[in-house]
Amino acid sequence: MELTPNERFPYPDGNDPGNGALDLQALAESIDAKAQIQLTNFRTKLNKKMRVARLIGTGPNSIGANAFGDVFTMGAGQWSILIDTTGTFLLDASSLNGFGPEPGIFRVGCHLSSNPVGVVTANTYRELRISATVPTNDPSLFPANTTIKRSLSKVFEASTGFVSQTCELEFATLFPAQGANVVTTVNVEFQHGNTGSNVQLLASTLLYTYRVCDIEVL
Amino acid sequence: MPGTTTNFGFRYPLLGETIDATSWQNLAVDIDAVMTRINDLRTKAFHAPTASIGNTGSASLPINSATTVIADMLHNVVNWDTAGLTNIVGNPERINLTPGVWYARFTAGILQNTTTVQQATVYIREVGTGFIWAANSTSNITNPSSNVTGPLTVNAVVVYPAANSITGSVQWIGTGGPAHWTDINGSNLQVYRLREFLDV
Repeated sequence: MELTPNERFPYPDGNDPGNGALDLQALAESIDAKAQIQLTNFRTKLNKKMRVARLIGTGPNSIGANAFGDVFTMGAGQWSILIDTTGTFLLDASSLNGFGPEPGIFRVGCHLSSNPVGVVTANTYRELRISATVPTNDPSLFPANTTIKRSLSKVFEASTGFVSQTCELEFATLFPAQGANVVTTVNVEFQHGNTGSNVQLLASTLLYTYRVCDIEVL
Repeated sequence: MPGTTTNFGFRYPLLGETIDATSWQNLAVDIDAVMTRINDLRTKAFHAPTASIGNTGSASLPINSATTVIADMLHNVVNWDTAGLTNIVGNPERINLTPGVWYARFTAGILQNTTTVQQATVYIREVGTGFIWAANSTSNITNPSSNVTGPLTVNAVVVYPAANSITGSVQWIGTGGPAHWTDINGSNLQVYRLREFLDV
């Protein structure tokens, strides 16, 4: 039995007994296995893991001034999943739960619309922040070393109350979900300077996370 | 009765069966079919649908109301379109999306012809419903008398289980006008597909 130089497909050599049926079977199974690998790889690339959630109504009117809080909590009760291919039904689209242990590059983003529930404090800020605490060392070690990546959007309102803003963060993680001590954590947070009244999130506020691509472990 | 392979059922003759031209044909046809499936996926993987529409120097979009109007940017040039997503003559405001998850970005050029601009916002919206996928605001707090704003950019992840269309839209709050969102420093709406809505 000989093998082709690259994909190692078998074929009979001059000294083989010439069992054509068995040779054909070996070749067919070999091609079958290679084809399965190709299909799996392309599907993994095309069926990108992602989770997108949107507010379908106004969030609780409980966001006080000058303190960062979690955007997912600020929209409690109003999130609707638009797509979730992670196999882990989870409304919090900023979580990496369900994305698996494979190293990868991720993008987390948020579009956020906000409005005071009462008095508008003119010209005050609205700040949307995304941060990722990413383990950087061997996941078997404790405590894990981490690095924090941040992205920020700061917009001032214009005496009308209503403000829309967007923020995104990309990061690479070698160990997105391997053990409680080395999990990459993502926070999407919001604060405002509207001291005249609380602020609430509006419908259409959007949270999304997806795996951009794999990354080689060097 | 031929045997078949583990994953794709490639037919091959069993011991004792005659190996003839049909045996080879069956195997070749089966492999051909799977190779075609692989090639389809390869094409999708390396050629994601994408399009971009923009403005040339003559295009601008006057907006006459200073507070309540959100107007769709009208484009007049196709920068690229790999999948027939645009109709720049019939629908210069939109890009048509197939089912899937798309990354969209809209940039509006500089806003001119106003007396003051207090706030300006750019949107990515759904055609027909006006549903807002994303918006981004800027405000001239420290220099409210400024009559020039922009360019402004907004990006969004857009999810559609069925075909739909999006626009890049603009709004401003201030005095004077009608405002013109020009092509200065670029105005364009562009998309690429992140994935199909259902697994392939």
